[in-house]
Amino acid sequence: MVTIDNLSFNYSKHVVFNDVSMKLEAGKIYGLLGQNGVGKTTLLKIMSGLLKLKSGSCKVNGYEPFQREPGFLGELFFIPEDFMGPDLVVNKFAKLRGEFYPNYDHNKFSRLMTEFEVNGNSKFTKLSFGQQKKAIIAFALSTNTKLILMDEPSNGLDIPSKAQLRRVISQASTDDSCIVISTHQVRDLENLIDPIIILDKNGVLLNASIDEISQKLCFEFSPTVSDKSMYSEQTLGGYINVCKNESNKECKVNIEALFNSVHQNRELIKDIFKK
Amino acid sequence: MKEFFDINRFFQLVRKETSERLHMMLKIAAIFSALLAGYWLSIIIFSSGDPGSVASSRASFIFFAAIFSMLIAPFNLYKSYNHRKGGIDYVLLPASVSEKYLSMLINCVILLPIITFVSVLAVDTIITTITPNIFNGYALSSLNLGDKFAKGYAEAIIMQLGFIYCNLLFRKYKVTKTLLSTIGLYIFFAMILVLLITVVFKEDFKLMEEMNVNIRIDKFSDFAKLDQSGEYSSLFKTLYYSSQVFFYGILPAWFIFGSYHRMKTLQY
Repeated sequence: MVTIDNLSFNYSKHVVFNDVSMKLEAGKIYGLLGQNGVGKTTLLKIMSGLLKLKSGSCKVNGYEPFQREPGFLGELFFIPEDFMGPDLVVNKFAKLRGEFYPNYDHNKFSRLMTEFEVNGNSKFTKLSFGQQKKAIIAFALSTNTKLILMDEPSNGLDIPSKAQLRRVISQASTDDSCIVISTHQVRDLENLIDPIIILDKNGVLLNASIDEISQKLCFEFSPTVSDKSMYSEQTLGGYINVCKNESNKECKVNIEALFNSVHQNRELIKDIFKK
Repeated sequence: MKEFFDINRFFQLVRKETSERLHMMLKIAAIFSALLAGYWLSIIIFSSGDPGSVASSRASFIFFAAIFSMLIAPFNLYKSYNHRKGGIDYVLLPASVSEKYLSMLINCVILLPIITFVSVLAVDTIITTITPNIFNGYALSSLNLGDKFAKGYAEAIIMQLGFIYCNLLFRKYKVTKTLLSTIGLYIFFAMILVLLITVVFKEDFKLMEEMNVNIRIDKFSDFAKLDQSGEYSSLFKTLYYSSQVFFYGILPAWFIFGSYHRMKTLQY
C-alpha cells in the first residue's frame, strides 16, 4: 500500500526525516506515535501529496503522491488535525464531494452521521469543532478509499464520541484498506491501532504489530520496581514495569508505557525488534 | 490522458464549484445592484428638478460592475486555495490541476461577471420602469456589446489571469501584494517605454515632431494608431508588434502556465 524508501525531508534547515524507510500494508490500522515535532503530520502530508520529499521515494498504491493525480486522490482521504469545514450544509458537502470518489457510499455516510449524532442538515459553520470533526470522519470513512490518513482524530471529541470513533473505525477497516492514525491520545485508541509506529528525530524507532510487541516485551503491574525492567512508571498502587519477555507468554500491551520505554531505550528496543 | 483531463469529471467539478460558490457570487452581484439602487435613492433624496440619470452612464456602470467583479473574483471565490489549512480540502479533491484551473476560470471569468451583469441590469430595468423620470431610458438600450467591449473584455481577462496567478502566488495580504505588483509592473513598463522614446527611438519621435502629428494614447490598443503611418522606422514597428505579442501572447501564457505550475507544486 505505502512504500517509503530512504526518505529525507527538511523545512529549510530543520531536518525532519533522514533516510527513513517503512512499509505499510493493507488491512491494518496503523498508530503513528511520536513526541511533538518529530514529523508525524509531515509524514502524513508526504503520504497524501501535500508535501514534496527532498530525496528518497514514497509510493502509495503505485503512485507518487506529490503528482496528485486524480486516480491517486480518489483512493486517499486525509483528515487534518484542525479541520474547519466550509460554509456549507454537511449533506450537500458530502454529496458534492462524494461524486469524485469512485466507491463513495452516501447511505454509509448517513448511517455514520446518525451514529455520531451529528445533524447533516446543519452547516459546518454552525457545528462545534468536535461535531465538524465527526462529520468529516464520517465522510472520510464513507468514501471507502484504500488509504485513510487521520491526524489526531480524537482531539476535540467528547468521551462518548471517542468510543463511537473506535467503533466506526474498526468497522470501516477492510482487508484492502489501510488506515493510519497519528495521535498523542493513545488511550483513546487503545485496542484499535495495530501495528504501532513510533517516530523520533532520527526516524522510525519501532514499527511492529501488537502481537510482536507482546511477544517481545512484557508489561507487568507490581507493587515495586522490577530489577529486570527497562522502564517503570509509577501508577496508583504500584508500578508498571516494562521488561523483555523471556517467558514467551503474551501480555497486554500498555501503549503509553511502550512509548515511554521505547524513548528511554532506543538502542535496546531496536536490538530487541531487529528482524 | 484521463489523469490530465476528463470531461465528465470537469463538469462535475464545475457543478460542485458553482453550487458551493453561488451564494458568494450572488452576494457580490447584490452589492453592485445595491450601489445602483443607492444611486437612484440618492437622486430621489438630494436632487430636486434635475433631469435624472442618463442611460449611457448607467450602461457604463453595468460594464464596470461586471469587469470589476471579475477582477476581484479570485480573491473572493478562491482565496483559501493556497492556505496551508484551508486549501487542503480542495487540493486533495480527486480532480486534475487542469480541471481545477479551468473550473476556476469559468467561475471567475464567465459566471460571476454574467451574474453581476444580469443582476445590475435587472435592477436598472426595474427602477427605470418604476421611475422613468429619474432613470431616463433603459441602460439595456444603451449597451454597446460591439468591438470596443470585446477588446476591453479581452484586456480585462488578461489582467484577470494575472490576478488569478497572484492569488495563487501570495499566501498572505493577497490583494495588497497584487496591487503593489501591478503598480510595480506598470512602473517598470513605463520606464522601458520612456527609455525607448527618449533614447532608442529618439529620431522617430523627432520626425513626429516635425510632422506635427498628435496621437493620443489612452490604452494599450491605441498604440495601433502609430502603425497607421508608414513614416516610422521598421524598428519602431517591430517594437509595436513585439509589445502586442508580449501583451496578448506571452503575458497571458505566462500567467496561465505560472498558475498551473503553482497549483501543481504548491505545498501545504
